[in-house]
Amino acid sequence: MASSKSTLRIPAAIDQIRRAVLFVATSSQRMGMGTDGAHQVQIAVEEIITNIVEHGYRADPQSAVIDIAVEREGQQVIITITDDAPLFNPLLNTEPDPHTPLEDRKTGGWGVYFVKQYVDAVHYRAASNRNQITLIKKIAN
Amino acid sequence: MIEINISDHQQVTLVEVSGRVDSMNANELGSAINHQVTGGHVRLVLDLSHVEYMSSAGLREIVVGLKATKRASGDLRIAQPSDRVREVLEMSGLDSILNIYESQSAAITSY
Repeated sequence: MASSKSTLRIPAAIDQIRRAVLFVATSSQRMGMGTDGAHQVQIAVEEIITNIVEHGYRADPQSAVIDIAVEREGQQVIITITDDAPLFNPLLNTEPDPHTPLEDRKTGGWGVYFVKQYVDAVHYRAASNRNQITLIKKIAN
Repeated sequence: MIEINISDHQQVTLVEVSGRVDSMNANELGSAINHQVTGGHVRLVLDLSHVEYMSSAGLREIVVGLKATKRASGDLRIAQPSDRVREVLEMSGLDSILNIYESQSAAITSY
């Protein structure tokens, strides 16, 4: 398959998240991802972007944007999500424990955990003073 | 993208959800549950058979709702979760905390 790359820039706002998620799903499927894989990357992308909107840009939401790129590399789809919020690596957050009883459960904190479950690899880097999360999802045969 | 139908079955309130529950609309689910609890309806059944997508935002509302009903000596029980929902319930360990039933009627009559 010829290499291709799809990109989208959205304002960093809750009401833009579904648009971004569906863009990633459509792009991934066009690049060969199956239905289940496309569902899983949707959840992963939603969790990352929700974190950026709710936490990253909290201090300065005006004119904030999020850049999303989807490309195929061999037998995997690579999704890159880049933002200009203060540098922060969400992958370093303490992971929640699925065995926690109800009374000790915090209501949130599951987003990054789901990301790690639903993609094959996730990386963070600070690139030119921007946060960049890379999600790698294998294309199932 | 989300539809919520509420019906009373004697002592039990059935909340049927369909569509996509994501960070854009999970608060609608939370509001619907909270409205029941504040109105004294604390024996809830959440039918998730027609939910095709649920992120952690939806789970958050379920946990909040479960805690609220339990505080009021009630419960929030799940009926026939779709495969997609069951997957996230299992991943978060909520499947061992929530009472989950294979049919709507089984969930309603469990009270």
